[in-house]
Amino acid sequence: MPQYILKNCDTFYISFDEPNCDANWNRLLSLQPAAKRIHGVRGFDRVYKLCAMMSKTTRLVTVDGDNWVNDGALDMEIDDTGIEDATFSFTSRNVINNLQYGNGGVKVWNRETLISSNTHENSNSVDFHWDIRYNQHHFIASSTVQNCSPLQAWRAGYREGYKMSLVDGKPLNNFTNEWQSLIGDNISRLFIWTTVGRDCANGIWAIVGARQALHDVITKTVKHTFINNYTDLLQYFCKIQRKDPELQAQQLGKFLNNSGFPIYEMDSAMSAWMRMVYVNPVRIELPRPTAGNSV
Amino acid sequence: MYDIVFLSYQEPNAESNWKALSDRFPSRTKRLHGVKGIHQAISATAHMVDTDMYYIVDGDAVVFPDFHFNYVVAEHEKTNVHAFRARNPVNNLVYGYGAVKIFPTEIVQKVGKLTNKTDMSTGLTNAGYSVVDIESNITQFNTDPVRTWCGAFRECVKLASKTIDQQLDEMTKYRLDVWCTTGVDQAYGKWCINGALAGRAYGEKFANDKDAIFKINDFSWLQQQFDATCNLG
Repeated sequence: MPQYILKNCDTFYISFDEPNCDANWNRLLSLQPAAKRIHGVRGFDRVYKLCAMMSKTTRLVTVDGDNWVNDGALDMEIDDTGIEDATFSFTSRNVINNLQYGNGGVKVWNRETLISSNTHENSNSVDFHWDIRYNQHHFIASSTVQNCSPLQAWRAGYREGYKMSLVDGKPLNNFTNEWQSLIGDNISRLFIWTTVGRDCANGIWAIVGARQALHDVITKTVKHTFINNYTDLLQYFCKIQRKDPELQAQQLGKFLNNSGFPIYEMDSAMSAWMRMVYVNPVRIELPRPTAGNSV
Repeated sequence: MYDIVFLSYQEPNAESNWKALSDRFPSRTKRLHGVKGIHQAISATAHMVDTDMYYIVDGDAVVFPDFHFNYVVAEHEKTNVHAFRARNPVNNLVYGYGAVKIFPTEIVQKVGKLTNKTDMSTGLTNAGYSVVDIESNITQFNTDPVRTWCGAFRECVKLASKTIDQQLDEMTKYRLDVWCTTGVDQAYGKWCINGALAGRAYGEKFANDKDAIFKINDFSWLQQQFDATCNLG
């Protein structure tokens, strides 16, 4: 029975320019002294494949540069019987809006699957899970801390806002008329990304980013693969960073409301309240093959 | 401007050296940490960069503030590895040991892990080797007994076995003599000299045994030699 304890798998820490990456790295080292680190490499497909190529173990763990890994996370055990190709995606808690799902979370990959995959810059896509099966795990293995600078928060909101607007990795033809056909969990998360966060540092920039992404989806300003390129995103942010984020949020909110996507302006207190009452959708595990039933 | 890759393994001063470097050159500094095997690590670095040539800075390198990573390699030398000069804090030798180097991206990518040369900087297939007479850093390898001993052992095996391509015998002998005699009053100087002497003995004994010499690229094996020689294991 193929079982793996995470701390026995090669662990790769992937950072780029996150202001908190060294703190998160030191945290990971305290839990996994043998962790390897790759910093500053452009291209998602490229850097993950590089990790897979360097891995000496069948399964490898990846931790993103904005992740604070929780106690006990690397003591977790997975059993991939019947789903040997799948990636195990652990839940991460987003500190901006308290969403708890796979975004930025710890992942455990099958080495060969990752090497043979084609994603992001190599396939006109913006994520792995449209090419590789994900087995979603409920355990909260880490916190995603994306609010250490305005750029980091805005980029997180923009990228995730854009991703949440896609169906099977592709943009809707007409978002204004079709957004209700999105997966229910994603609609719910999109509402949260576009409204919750005024109560934490730089949270307003995450809200601006998510709203700007939807604006750009509706107006077809950029292609969806735009979110893969951090240089382009930085240039985009440089154009807007001097404008008051609150004003931008409200202008974008009006635009989205007029476009049929409801935005409710939550102040700091409302954001804090929403974090408390919002129940995160249950994450779904892959079905396992049983006798006489192949997946 | 070429990309810069900071390559670290377990150097105690790696984090502070990394911070100093990445603070100066945030947009073009990349890092690879923890990959076992020097050849595998260097091979991987070539897949991390976006420029046709790139710098490699070792984890124990304290880069001089007036070294600006702005060297421009002439077109006709773009198939060469370019080695700057590093200052050894124990014996004050100044040469390529632990120095910043510039590698040709495509050539390193193609070589992969296949090279069996002991020293990847001088032994890259299809690549020449150029010395750049500019001091880039202090190679601060003398941070504890093990690392100091292993660093000295490894370098003196290379020198004594004369496996480094394009070595001048007289210069090699001079450097070896300095490694084996100088710096006892410096931090971990005694460990440095002991490692150098052991490395010289090993290098001379196995000068014609490529497999034995190649073992010096394995950190675990080096640690075993330290344990055995120093009776600490």
